[in-house]
Amino acid sequence: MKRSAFLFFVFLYLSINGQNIGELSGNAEFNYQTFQEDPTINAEYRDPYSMGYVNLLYKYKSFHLGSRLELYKNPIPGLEYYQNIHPDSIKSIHKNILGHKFIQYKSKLIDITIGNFYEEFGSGLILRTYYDANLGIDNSMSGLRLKTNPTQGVYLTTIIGKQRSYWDTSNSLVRGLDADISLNDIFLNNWATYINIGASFVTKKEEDNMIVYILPENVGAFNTRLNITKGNVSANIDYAYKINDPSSDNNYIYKNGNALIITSNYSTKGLGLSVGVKRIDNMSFRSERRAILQDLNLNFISPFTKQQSYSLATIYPYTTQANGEMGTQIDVFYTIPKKTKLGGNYGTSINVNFSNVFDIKRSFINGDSVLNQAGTLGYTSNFLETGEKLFQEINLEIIKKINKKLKIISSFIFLENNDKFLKSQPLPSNKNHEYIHAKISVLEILYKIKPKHSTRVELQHLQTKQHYGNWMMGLVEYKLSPNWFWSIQDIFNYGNPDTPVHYYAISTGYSRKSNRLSITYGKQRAGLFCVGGVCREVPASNGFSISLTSSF
Amino acid sequence: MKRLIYVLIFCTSYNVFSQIAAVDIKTINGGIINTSEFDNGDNPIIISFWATWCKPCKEELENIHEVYEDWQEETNVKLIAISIDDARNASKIKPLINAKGWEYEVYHDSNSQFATQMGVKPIPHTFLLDGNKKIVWNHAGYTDGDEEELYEKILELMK
Repeated sequence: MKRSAFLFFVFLYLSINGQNIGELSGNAEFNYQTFQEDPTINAEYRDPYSMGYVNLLYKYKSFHLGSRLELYKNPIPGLEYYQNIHPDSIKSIHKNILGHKFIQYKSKLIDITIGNFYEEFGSGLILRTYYDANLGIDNSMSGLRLKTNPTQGVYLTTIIGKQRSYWDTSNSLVRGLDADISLNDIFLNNWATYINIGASFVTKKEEDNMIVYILPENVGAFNTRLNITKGNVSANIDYAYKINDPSSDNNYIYKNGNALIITSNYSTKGLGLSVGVKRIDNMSFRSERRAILQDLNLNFISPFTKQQSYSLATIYPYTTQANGEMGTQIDVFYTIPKKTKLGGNYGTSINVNFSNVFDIKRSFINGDSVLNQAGTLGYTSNFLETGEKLFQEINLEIIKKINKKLKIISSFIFLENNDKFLKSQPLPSNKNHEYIHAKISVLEILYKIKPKHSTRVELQHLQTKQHYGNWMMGLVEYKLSPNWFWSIQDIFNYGNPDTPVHYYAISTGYSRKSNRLSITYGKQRAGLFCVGGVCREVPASNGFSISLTSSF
Repeated sequence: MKRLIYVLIFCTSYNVFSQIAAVDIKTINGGIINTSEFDNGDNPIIISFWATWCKPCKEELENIHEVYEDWQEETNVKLIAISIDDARNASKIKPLINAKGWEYEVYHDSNSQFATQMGVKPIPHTFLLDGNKKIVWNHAGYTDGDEEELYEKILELMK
């Protein structure tokens, strides 16, 4: 700790006092939240939670030195399970550590990193490590990475290391190879069609530490990709295969896993279309077979549904089912041209999104009478046959600018969430998980009062006969460019079968250059908190939260 | 705890900007480009970090789009929009920008490698580079009207 502070100040001193002695840059974030008891929303008192970090990057010629000093006090709400599975670590949730550090040498030909690094092979189907402080995810690799670009259009990466697991590393060794090749750079120079191919291979070596089963100590996964673009049309195929990897995710079955994602898009000025299909079968891939929830994921399978931003639309999100799912998604983006009847003076933007997800169909293996029985091959699955429906959503969004001052966004969502199967929602008293149908409507109005002064009003309604019943929400925000905003909101669960509940909150924020401070006081509902499709269940809370971000 | 706050205060009061980080990111045609290859002759470049799901980001890009032609005529500025969408929305980036009619150069930083090295956390985050590709200004967040401040900074570079 002392040593890192010393190094930091040495770099700082050097970079201030000499232009040729390198450059220092970085960013920082600090979050603090208090929790008071509030029986109306079932929120409990807890000790305040705080989390902060400072990322520093020092560059000198071809050398880069990076570090992240992290501070934690009490666990992130919803991440308490960590204490249950690692009871000896309760003391260690009050911690300042240098959680991320690396030294990197970068030249035109080669890029070597020793220490911690984040890496994504292709779209992450077999390897993606990343950092998300708000979700409490840091699955960085700690080891060695070598990247090289031997000739134009050829990119090779090789890695070896252990994955970070909270204050420790996982007990397995991960090795990986990745190649990306742009054919147009090699021999199809004058082609109007762009073709990019990629392939990767990842293995994890984990000791067989269970008595009941004989487990594979080396698990390998393979991924191959193809992207073809010609003019307005583009197609992308992503396939992955994993050898048998019995784990707590798949109930210790010895079945191989595979994943196929095909997307295609077409676009021209004013119109864009994206369609995709996806099938995932037993593709959970973690660096420890016992890891659960958000821990130690080696791969990243993104959900194939719209990423929602309105608060009522985030109540019933879909989260990827790595054990098996089949889905389709269609997006249409259209701008009605300006100076037409429907387009008005500024044009009208329309986005329609449709998505659905089904479980895969699982059948008994000859002689078995139980599906997915531990220690067996689990099941067989017909590639094209779907199982139970898990989720469906139709979204319609219309953005219309009326005049220089006024803009209106309206949005309608029809969704089905099979929580009876997924069991991801918190439950009201005396209720069981059920299949949820909901209709959500949103009206957002942006009004510019005068230069640099603007307001935003959001009105939302969610209608459902299931779960917590109907909700409505109102928000008023006032912004003063470039520094200030204030907002007040109330989310009212008036259809709650127990008793109607208000979740009000007030916020203010100040930003200057790349520094931003926001303070919120109010209540937060229990549910899934999601960032980029990765979700964590958070308890209801009432209190202050303060967030500061800065880059320099 | 205290130490971290001191470090924070120290850092925020110390804004030294230099060149942008050199990182391999994806083109929207599935290829790879190194960010050090960003080029606009000796003219300024705006780099804006955004995502298909980020409303204020799209608001900022839309509002700049309305004045972009004038900006380009007067200052030859170029806007490079860096999407930090993950694999979930990768195939929607191109249809979205084309449908909106945005004439920006667009790249895809799918694992936020470039964003991380540029110190970007909340988006939108917008950087202004001078003719020597040195970062001269940056701003996190977007409020209606912020683009006016950005344009003033571009005009200052013209002097």
